[in-house]
Amino acid sequence: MVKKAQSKTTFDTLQNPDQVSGTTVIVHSSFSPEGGHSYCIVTPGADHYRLRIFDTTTGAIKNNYEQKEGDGKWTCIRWGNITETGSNGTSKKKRKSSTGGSHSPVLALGHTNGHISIFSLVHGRVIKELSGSHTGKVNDFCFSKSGNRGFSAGEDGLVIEWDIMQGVEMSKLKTEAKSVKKIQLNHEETMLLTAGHNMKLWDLETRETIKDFTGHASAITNVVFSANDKFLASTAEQDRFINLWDCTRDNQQEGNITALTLDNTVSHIDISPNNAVLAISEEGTAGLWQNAQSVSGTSSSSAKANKKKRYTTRACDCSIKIESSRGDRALIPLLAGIFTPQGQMILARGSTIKPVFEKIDFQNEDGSLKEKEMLLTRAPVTGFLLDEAAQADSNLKATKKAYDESAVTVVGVTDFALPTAGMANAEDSEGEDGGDKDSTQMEGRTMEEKLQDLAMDESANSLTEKKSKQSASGSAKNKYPTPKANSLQQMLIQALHSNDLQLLEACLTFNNVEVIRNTVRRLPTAYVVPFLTQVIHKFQQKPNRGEALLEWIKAVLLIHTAYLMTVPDLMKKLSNFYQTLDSRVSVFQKMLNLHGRLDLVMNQIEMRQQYVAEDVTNEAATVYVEDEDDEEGEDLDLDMDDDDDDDDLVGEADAFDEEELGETDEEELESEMSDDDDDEVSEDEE
Amino acid sequence: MRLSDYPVVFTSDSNYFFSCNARSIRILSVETGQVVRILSSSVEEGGHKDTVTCVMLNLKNPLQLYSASLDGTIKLWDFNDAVLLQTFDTTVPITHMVISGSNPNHVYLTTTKTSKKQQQFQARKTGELRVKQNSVLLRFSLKNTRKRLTRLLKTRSCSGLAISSDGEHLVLSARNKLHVIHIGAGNGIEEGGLTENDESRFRCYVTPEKITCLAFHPTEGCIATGDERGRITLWYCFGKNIDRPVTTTMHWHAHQVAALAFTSDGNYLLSGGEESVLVIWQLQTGFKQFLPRLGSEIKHITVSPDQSLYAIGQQDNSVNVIRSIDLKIKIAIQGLKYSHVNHLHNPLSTGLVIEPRNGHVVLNGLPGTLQFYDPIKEQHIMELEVTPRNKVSRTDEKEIIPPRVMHCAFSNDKSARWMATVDGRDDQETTPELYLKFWEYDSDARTYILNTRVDTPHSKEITSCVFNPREGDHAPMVVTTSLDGTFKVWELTHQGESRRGIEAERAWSCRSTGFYRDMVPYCSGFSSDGSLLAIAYGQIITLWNPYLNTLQGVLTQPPETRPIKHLVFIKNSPFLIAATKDHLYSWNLLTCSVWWNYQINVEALKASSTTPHFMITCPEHKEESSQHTIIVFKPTSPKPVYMETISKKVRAVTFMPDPTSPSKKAQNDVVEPILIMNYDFDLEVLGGRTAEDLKAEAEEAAEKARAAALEVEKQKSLVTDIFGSSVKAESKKEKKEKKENAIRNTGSKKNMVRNPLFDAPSHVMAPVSSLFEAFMAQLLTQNMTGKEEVKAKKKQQKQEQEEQEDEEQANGEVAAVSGDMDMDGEEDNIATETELPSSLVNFFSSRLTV
Repeated sequence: MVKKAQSKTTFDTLQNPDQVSGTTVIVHSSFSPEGGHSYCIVTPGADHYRLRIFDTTTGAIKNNYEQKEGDGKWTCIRWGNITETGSNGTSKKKRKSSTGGSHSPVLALGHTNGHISIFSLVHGRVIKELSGSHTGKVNDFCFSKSGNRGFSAGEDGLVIEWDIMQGVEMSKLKTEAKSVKKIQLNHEETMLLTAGHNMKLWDLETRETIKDFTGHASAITNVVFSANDKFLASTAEQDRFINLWDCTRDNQQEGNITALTLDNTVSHIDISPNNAVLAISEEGTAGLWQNAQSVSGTSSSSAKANKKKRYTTRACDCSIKIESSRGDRALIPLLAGIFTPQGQMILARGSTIKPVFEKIDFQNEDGSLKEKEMLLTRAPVTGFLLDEAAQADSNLKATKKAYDESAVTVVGVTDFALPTAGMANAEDSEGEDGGDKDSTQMEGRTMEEKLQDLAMDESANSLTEKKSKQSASGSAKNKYPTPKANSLQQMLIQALHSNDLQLLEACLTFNNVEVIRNTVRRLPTAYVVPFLTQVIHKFQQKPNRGEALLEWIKAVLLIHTAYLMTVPDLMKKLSNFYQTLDSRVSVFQKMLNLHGRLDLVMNQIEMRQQYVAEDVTNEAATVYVEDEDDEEGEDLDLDMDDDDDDDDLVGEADAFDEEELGETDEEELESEMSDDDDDEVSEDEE
Repeated sequence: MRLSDYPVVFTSDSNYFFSCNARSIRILSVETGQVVRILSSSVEEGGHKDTVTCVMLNLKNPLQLYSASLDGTIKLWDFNDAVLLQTFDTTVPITHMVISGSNPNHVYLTTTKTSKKQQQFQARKTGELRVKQNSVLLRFSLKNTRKRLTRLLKTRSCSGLAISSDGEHLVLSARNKLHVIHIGAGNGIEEGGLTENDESRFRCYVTPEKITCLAFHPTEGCIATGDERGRITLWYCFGKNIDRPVTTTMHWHAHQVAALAFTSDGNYLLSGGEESVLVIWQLQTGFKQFLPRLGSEIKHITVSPDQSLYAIGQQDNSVNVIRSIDLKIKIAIQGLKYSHVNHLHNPLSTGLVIEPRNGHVVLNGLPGTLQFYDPIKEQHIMELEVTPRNKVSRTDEKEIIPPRVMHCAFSNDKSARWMATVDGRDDQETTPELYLKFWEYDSDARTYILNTRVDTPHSKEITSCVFNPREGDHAPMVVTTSLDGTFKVWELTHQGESRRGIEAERAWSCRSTGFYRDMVPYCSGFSSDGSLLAIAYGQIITLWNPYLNTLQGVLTQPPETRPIKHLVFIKNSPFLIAATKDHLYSWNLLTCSVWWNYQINVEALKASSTTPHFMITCPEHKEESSQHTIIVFKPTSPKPVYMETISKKVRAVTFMPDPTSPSKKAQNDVVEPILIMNYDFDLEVLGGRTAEDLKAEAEEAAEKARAAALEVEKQKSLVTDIFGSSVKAESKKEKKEKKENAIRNTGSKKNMVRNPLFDAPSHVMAPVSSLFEAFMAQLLTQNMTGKEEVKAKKKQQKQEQEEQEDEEQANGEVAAVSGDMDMDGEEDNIATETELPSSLVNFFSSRLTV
């Protein structure tokens, strides 16, 4: 079983500065290997290059570096890990932290004068300089996995092996090629690939070439080994082909196995542990090939068969594009991409100033691709105005998500079961059906019958005023319950049929019980449920209308019980109504308590006023001596001030007349009675 | 990561700073805010055994660092190489330390002497770890003299210790007293020769308010103290008027001053406190400059040696480094916020929740927020405000009761599209608030956006909130249970009509409400396919069909009448684990019977989301120390798979899906790493594969590959190249392949027994009687292969009896034998079984009460 065969490679490109992606020039952009936790991008500044490193999980800027001395321009950038001195790489069982500096991520920066700087992400500065071996500019650098060794390739055609810890040259390898643009170690670190226009595979032990690949017509920009080191992929400048090469030692095949094609120049490639290839083109789209090694797998056994396939090309299995959600169908360019060990991929997109990272699941559990064409719609990022001082602030903000209620639906106690779309549709269709029936009925009648009806109506109108009143109120005694255009029932049907809320509102303003009952009785059954839902909806929306609406609901439930019993999903439709009532009734008890108490207090206050008034009058009536009168009055005042309310209640209650007590009792009873009435009503509805 | 417990210290070049983090010291880069190095990372390598309280650069060599700890030692480090240079044992727990500039061999330190009882009481009362009762000021000589420790002064609750830059005076604040001690040479006392008896050297000033912090002016004879009422007092107490010192009072802070610092040129004084405002006082003019809205209470202020940076330690476990020129934040380093909130008022009610999208852990942050945190990289990911809250400083002594996040759950799909939170606020005065909120992940904003807010979803507190884990394109479903006796099913619905081409707004709403008798539900759980909902009412477990709202069955516990506290379904198995306070039950839903149970104290119960494992934590109160054991079980057997004992209380546990292993290949037998929140509110990862393991694995794999390559090379000779491979070789190959296939077949058959037959939920399965035939047939094939295992086991037992010394060897052998027989990882099983100490097995078998 292959365990965690992570691709150690990065997509490294040093594009020509004149290549424009999006709006800004990108000198270099790449993800850190092994999971793509960081992303670095180099953009040209005024006279320096500017290196920025982003955290892909939060999108925050981790480092922002410009080299002040020298020409400030780098010829190559490469990810790696180095072991720092003084690290505590102890093998503890309780792993407290892996950031002990045992493996700290670094970037190698090559210079035109042959120097190589090692930039530490943790320290945020250059921590080591390798110099003294190259005479010309450094074209590429490559770290070993352990971080102790590194290889650099220069314009002078030399490949130099460095001891990074000591900062000294370990050995020198002279390639015949005029210049080596890219170098790459394989995962086992037994072979080294040097690439200019053509590529050479070197054995690190013997320092001999194993293979000599033909390469590309233009300078090679990317070389990536597959996780099992069986094959490698390469891209070149102005080339839309990705060539795959066999790099096993046991055959001498030096042509390419196959070529993968994209619509535009390929700028980044990566190979996943299960040999899928991801490529990003310069126009900002991505292509994905699964089982890219499938051809190579057969090639090792039968070179003959391969010869036929030699120049076969493969279009991508899945293309990935990201579109702006602004509606202008503009493409948001992809900047880079990498596979994660979990079988996902991380894509960077948008502007170079504020790239956005997204983890994308591209395959199902069984490893098959989810879609053939992946078109994602995302909002373009705006707000690039970002001065350096605000960087930390913006980072803080990026990790601080404020509470935002702008797009929220608030569900209150009253509407616990919102009408579902399915339900709404059902109602609509029901309504329409009902209407159709009605119209067919109307159509089925002959003109004669209609005229007869009219005649009857006229005759009815012409009878007496009294009778017409009865008919207006919809008396059942009328032998011919002819619908009238101006009757409330007709209005209601119209309102329900056309979903005219204003008309419905007009209907509901009637509060005469008799009228309501008659209207509801005449309501066709097809409209019962829509009407009920409408009324209940209104009932929930405005609790203070409850009293008026309850009359309607009550009537519907009483009169159409039989029909309602037959409605299949009535439970569901009425559940919210039930809950509303439930919640209101639960408040009711408290309200009742409050009401009772308030009554008591109000009565007491009233009574006290009466009492005081009576006292004054009484006293005036009974006292004859002036001096005594004054004293008593004062005493009384003092008493009043000292006593608390509660004391007053008790003390005064004793002093009250029988008559007054009786009055209060009656009042309370009355209030309770009225409450009870309400209670009954609400119970009825349930 | 505890960042702001104690003040940070800058290096002399102001590029790095040191932060005390429990027992270790971290060196962080000012430039990037990342940990560069860790000192004192392990006790075995000479690290501190207890909390580090103070760090200080060696004045003689700025590349060295002194650290003092509560374990009574002072250690000298070379921080560039992270090497321990020297250890001085003072035998007393050190709370404050200063080193005299003029005589660097003398260290002045304070220690607290409190009786254990008092300390515990105090800790319980205040909820804080640092307690000072009686403080003693001591002098410790770093030179090897006979009497190293000299007692100077005894006082109550020392709150600060400082020394003048010329090393002449020492200042100590304790409650209402300010002690000034002249330690310089003169008057017949040589430098550093001061003892307790030289009373003329000790001065004491009394203030009306308790002093909370102090700082010594770097150039003048001036001391600044801050008190409980928010006043800052400058004492000019050197020179003529020793007895009646001139004081200046500056008052801006409304609450107590928590930190004071002079800039190194002495022109400015920085102060901060509960108001989250950094105040910069210009001492000559009294001009004030403010840096408000720092986000959290200020605890410590440090000024860098070159005065360009201020480091501010804050109450929310963060350090903000501020540029002094423009007062902008240069870098903000955030630790786990929960480790610094008041744990008594804000219990960890969400527990540790793993966000399926990125594998981050989600937990309570500051009150009213959730923090997303990466426990492996120790990185703060984001803070999500669940309730809107303005940071308001209290106006009077009464604390403002903040809203609390009580539950948090994620939908189970890999993208974790939905999150449900429950939050509320109850201050016992106003109407209690309770909200259920549904959040949707927005890939543009890269955060969770509030979709639906439900006001008062239940009339009483919500006891649990779970997502239906079913997969596929069904509408997501959430179940909440509450103390009001009901459980509610919430579903995503379309609100309004989708007319005119506009998509209907999606919102969550309550689909149905359920109750069982008039009992109160405490916990709930979904089976892994989402077809069965279990809700525990008291000691009764009710099983429901969540789609039809029908009661499927009722499971009642055997006699014991305690309410069920925890309830989990096990992934891909018909088992349901329920735990009361002191019993653990494993229910088999196929038979609706208890499969096995233990009498054991269960504090927490968690099931893995990928493997059929679950774990419990059980406290064991031995004399004084309360030990906690984490035990991992499989639901099928009462034999633990993994055990870990932790000396202090474990606050919370969860399984952490290994981010480095692909989720598809999750092996059933490997116990996932366990993430715990330890006693100090810090996150720790137990088990799992360390970086070294990974490396070893990778090497192993590479070796295998190499061996395979060699084999291929061997087979390929010149002859084979020309004529193709020989018949012999091919037949060999075939044989080998056959063998492998056979092994695979047996393996898959075994899997069949486990998986497909009983994979369906119990209530939709055919009756046991009809399954019998098929099941037995599979069992029989398994036993054939199993027999050899049994033999091997017997053999091993014999060997053990015969020669107990060679136990290790035997283990290896058996492991090899079993490994040959099947590659299914039985090897691990046996290995773990044999590894378990026999006493442990006894312990469990004695508790096994089936």
